[in-house]
Amino acid sequence: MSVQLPHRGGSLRRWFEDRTGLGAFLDSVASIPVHGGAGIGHAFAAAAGALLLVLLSTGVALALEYVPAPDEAWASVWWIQHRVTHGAFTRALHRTAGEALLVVLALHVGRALFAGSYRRPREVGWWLSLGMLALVLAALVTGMRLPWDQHAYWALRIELGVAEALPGGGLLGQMLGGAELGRTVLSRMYALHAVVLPLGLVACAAMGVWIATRHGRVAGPHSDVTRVEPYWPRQAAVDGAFVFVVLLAVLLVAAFVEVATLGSPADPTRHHPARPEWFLMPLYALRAALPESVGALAVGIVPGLLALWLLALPWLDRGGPGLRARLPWAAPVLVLFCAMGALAVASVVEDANDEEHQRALAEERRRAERASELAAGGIPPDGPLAMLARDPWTRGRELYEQKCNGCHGLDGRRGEGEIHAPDHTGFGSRAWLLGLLLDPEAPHYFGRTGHAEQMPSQRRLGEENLRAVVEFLYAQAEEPQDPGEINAALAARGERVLRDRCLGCHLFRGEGDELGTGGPDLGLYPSRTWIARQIAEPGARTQYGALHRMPAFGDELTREDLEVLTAFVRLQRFREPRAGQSTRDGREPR
Amino acid sequence: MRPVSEVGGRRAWLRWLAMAGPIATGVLAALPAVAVWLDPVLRPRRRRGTRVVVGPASALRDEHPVPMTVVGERVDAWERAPRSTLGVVWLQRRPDGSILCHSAACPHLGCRVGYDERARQFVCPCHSSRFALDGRVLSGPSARPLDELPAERTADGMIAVRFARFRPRIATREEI
Repeated sequence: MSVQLPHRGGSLRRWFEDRTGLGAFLDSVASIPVHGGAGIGHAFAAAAGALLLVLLSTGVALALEYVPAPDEAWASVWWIQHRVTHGAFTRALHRTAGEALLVVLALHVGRALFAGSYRRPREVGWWLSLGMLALVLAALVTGMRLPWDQHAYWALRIELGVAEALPGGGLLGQMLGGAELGRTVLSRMYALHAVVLPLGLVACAAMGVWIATRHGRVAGPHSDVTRVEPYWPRQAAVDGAFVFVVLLAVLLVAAFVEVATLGSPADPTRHHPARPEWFLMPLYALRAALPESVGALAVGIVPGLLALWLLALPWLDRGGPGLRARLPWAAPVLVLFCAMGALAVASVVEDANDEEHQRALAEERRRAERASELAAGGIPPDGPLAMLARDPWTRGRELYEQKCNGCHGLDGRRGEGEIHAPDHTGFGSRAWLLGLLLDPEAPHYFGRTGHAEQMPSQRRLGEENLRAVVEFLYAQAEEPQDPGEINAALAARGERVLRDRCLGCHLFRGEGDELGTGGPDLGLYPSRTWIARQIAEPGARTQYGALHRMPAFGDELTREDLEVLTAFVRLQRFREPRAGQSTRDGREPR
Repeated sequence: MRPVSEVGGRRAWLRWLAMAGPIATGVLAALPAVAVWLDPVLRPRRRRGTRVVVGPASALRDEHPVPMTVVGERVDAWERAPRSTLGVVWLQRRPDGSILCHSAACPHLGCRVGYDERARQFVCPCHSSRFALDGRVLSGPSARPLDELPAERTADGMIAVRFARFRPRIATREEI
């Protein structure tokens, strides 16, 4: 067979053409017959190809930084999002291009459905389009589980649970690592997402181009079927312009819309109201709308039947030419599509109006922001969850809300309990200490604890002495890492005043309580040591002794939890009570 | 039908329109990817050596080097590990009692330098560079003496070293 030489060009070009035949191939692409004339309906395939290239390139870039292992996955995505040069943009672009590819392929398949281009001899091209649609869906799902944040973890947990109900789903779950969502499932999803699915997509796309050069492009449902023109130049120009517009839109969305966020690190012990991504929302809504016994099954049956219907169309539809003949085959798909879409929209609206759900999402956002803040200081080797478990503002606050907030008030919140223990808003700050000395019987101090009438107002000390005692107590809880603005002379005077005037009822470093009242030891009050002792053993002699009304938490808190809770309570000293937001009666301030 | 290469003239604008897609694809695919590939090059690196306590001064011997492991904080991408192994140093006591400390990383290509007790020389196992006890190059490919690190005795009888790494293969010391 003789090699066809190019029409013109230098010797290098001839040399290259001689050995590759690429020019001849391009000419055959240029001459693909476009039935019905150039139009935007033919351009979806080109846009899909362009998006696939963008996805491959950004995907490789992300693979340079991503680590597919629990803990490390979250940390590496945080790194991409906050430290890697244009990492956040690359990630946003990868995600947006993926979603755009799904839309463009759906439009391509939809057009083929109504144009009847699944008919002989184009069946294989039709199946390739359907295959690509399925591969893109799989790539989107696996890709969005890779960051291993709360959303990814719980969405995957639910998805594998639903899959259990379907034939073969259990096996799929086992192959992905079984009930334990950990290293196996994450690295297998990564291998699927980053190797298997892209290879499949590229193979389908290449095959699609090959088939197009053989059979040409089919006219749209409303175009003039008799008109046929070559791909070059008019359809090429339409393709070029359409690709440009699609990519511009993708670029703008990726750059200006927060599409790829990162939640808090996956925590198997912390529930998260996971909702699937928009393209899975119809299935979620379908399952939620049906009784549990059939819901999971319907999630498999509905898309399964749809897929079978579409795959079998080349044999099912034997009608004549024209849209009218094809409509009975295309219309049910459209109706199902719209119905599922409506279900999804209804479900989204329901979530938007569900206060409980919105509160949970807000809590998750707060946790995610805090995790990101902490990660900026370096993530410890034991991972982001351990990092959060050592953070007073995360774990400490959580423990406070569970163990303390029932009786103690904080930031205007308090449980329904009968007992009103002292309010911790601004606990340990100068203002809080001064308020205590001036009016210990106030309802937000000891007024409603049952300790009433134990300690009188210390106004009699005089303003200067009061300020000195406050400074001394404040200094007792100061730590090396604190901002440190202690007036040492004032504090020293405060210690003298305290020894002079308070030891009638109070202990100070084990001495005092001359009247036998049993007041707590003021040594180290209100430092970490004192707070930890109070939480663990409020009945100790250094604390409230026989006067105490507080349950001891020493046995129900681990050492780590006691430490982090103590740190949280101590940190309240840096938050002055907010003006005009008194929590005196313990109700939510207006 | 005309082949690609023959379209031109008044239809040049069609050609440009057709090229808009591939060009946009190329730009959008290339720019972020290049940025991420180059990220380690663009990232400013910390070049501060860290002061690390390596062991008790009582372990030192006169004119006889002792190896000690340097354990300190390592920041590696997102991870901050407070206790990871940073390297090994050779320590000896000088006749005047001061401490002499050499990094065990060979200045040639960074292999871990060992000690030949019979010859009383440091020897690199990879390319046989030999160094005197004071770090001078005696033979082999190393372009500079062993890298000396500042070391001191702390008040509580320990040895503190300012640990650093240096660019291999060159005659001058350049911290990395």
